Amino acid sequence: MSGPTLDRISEQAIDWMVALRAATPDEALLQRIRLWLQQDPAHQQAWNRLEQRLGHPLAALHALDQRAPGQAAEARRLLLIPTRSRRDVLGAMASLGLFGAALWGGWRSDTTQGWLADLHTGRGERRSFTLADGSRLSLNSASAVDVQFDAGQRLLVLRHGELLIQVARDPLRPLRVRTAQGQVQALGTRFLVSQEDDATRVVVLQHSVRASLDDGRWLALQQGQAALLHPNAIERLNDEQQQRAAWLEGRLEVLDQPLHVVVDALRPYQRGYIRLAPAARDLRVQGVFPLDQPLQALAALAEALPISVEHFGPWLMLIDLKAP
Amino acid sequence: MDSTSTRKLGFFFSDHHRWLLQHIHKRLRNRADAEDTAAETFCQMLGARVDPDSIQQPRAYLTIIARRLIFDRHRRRQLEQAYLEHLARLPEAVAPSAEEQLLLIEALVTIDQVLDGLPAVVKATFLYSQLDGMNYADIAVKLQISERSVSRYMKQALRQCYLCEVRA
Repeated sequence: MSGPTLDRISEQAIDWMVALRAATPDEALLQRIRLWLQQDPAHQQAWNRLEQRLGHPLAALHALDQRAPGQAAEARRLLLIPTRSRRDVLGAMASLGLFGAALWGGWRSDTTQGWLADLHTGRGERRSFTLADGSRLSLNSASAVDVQFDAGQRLLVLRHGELLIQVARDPLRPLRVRTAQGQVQALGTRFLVSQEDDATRVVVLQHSVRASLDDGRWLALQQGQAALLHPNAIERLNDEQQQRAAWLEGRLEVLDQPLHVVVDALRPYQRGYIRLAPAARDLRVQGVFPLDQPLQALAALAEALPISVEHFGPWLMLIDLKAP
Repeated sequence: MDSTSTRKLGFFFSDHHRWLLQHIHKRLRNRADAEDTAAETFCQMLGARVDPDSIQQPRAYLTIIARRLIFDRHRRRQLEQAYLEHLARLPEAVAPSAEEQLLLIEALVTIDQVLDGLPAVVKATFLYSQLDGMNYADIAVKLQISERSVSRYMKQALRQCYLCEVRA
């Protein structure tokens, strides 16, 4: 076997472990292992080291499996999701000099996509850019956009997140924003596009846009109007949507929304995962919250609503109904 | 680690930090992530008790560590996110508490790190044995390999466990 060499005792410990796991061990095998362990304290040491290496992690996963059968198999499935091996990835990087966008096209992670996009913002970061044509583009937190401008078109591809654009007039080159569901086309206007889980939200702040799906269906939206582009339909939104642009000023304005929508709006600003218990999802919320201090925003929510907000390290937060 | 070598690493750090940060920033295009990764790169050197004098080509050396960290960061996030989403879908009655979730994710990430770099079939063999509790005969059928191969792969995975220094 290749790889670094191990001393004889370690190799023996591994051989015994391989034998032990083969099937339900019989008494004879167990007896031989016991004898070996008793022969020398170093044997016991090597054995312990081998057991400890993965003993705790495996025990944790088994414990969950006891309570909810199938969970160990789920962990196995996740661990076996094929990722390119580190060497492949590094090889690809090396051959390109740096991350080449096309090669990584199949990679689904938002984070990676963000790194690859032309313009992007990190968690908790908002930025405004002046584009080559003079248009003013603002990106909300954790957003990424590709810019493809040439003689015939101005195309922005919103890979994820949310953008607000003040379009510079150029009748010969319409400006379009492409998303996973469709596209929004404008001439001299100001509007907001947000890539949500399975839909694209469009809010027109000035003048008008034409929102269309990939199959050609389209809808004209005037100032103050908004719509959701679903994969197979365009849904006109009749409630007030203008406040969705408040992030530009660092505020989250909520008129009357369920808690899960508010938490989703805060997520891009908060490191780590926020788990919202189903029972608390639909509590109604209104108010104005500071985006740049998501913890403060959550504390304000906890004061206004019957919820508890618990932190477990920097990357897990649990929101639940307060115990009665 | 004695204070002299810590100090030497400190000098090494200030000599190369600017360059390293620019180098990583070009790849991540995000300042905060780049700063994190640059800091981690040096933490790794500290942790590994590297003597800066022994490094012939500092930039090449730093590039290798930084690249690995960039990849690890991505892989870890991917795994954490996928598992948390799965756990969030469990029925409330059996859903793990927040503390348990922490432990479970640590467990998953640790196993992933320990098995990193092994061929997929070796990982699968090991996980069917250790997580699903299957015997070698069943694993051989499942993966369509011989029982001899199952033993061989188990040995390969266990060797790696034994040798692995789990990264923090």
